[in-house]
Amino acid sequence: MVYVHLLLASVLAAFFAALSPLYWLFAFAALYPLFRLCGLFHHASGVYALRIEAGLVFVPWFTWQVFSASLDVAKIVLNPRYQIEPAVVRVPVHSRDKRLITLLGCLLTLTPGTLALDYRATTGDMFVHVLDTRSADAVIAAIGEIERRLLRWVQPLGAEK
Amino acid sequence: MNAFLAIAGSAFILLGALFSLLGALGVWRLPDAYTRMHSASKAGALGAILILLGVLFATAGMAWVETLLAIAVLLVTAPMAAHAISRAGHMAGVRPKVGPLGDALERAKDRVNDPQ
Repeated sequence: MVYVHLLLASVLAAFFAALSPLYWLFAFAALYPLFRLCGLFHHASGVYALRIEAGLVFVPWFTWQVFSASLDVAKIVLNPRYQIEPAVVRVPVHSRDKRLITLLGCLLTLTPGTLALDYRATTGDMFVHVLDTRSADAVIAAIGEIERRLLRWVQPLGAEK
Repeated sequence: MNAFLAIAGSAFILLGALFSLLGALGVWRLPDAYTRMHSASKAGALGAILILLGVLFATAGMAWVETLLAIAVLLVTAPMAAHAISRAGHMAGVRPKVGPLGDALERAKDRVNDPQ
């Protein structure tokens, strides 16, 4: 579905204006209501439209998370008297989808302050090295939040069987 | 418009340089291999991404394919490398310095080796 959207946006941009990134973005945005409309009678388009919405929410949220976490780490690095308390925390992951877990590991490693160390497929636990924490629950809650939002993006209608 | 692009580009590049400096300071100040990995992998990648965004603004979108490709490659490779190195370190027996919460992976490994 995303290929159809990309192709349509390219054709639209090339037809009405030039194939520059700005016009292309306009065409991409203009096609979104079409998918929303098609979703009323075509199920896959509806799911795709929901996915665009969730993605548009997720990307700025994650960028903001990365920046606020960067500020925390910057404070730690710049304060010479601060004693950090690193820890390796066991975080239960609810999903069993390997691709999703890989993505989750990458995203939490990209966030300053957390680093995915290992994953046990038998128990569904991820081991995360945290730069500075005093409670394991706070870390588990933060990673659960990333997973929840990621799931809403990947599977907007809940788990498909 | 041009003045805005120039200022935005400069601001992004300065911010990226500042981030990279923070990363270097972190490698110098933090105590062990894992905490240094936090600083080295993330601050470097985020700093480079900010500088690339600055390039995007400074060229007024002319180099957008190259910039976006470079940002995508950085976003994919930086966490992979950090995870691979620190996981290999833990498997090779490099123990992290930990606070009162301790090392859950160490405890899990001990349980597998010695079920008592």
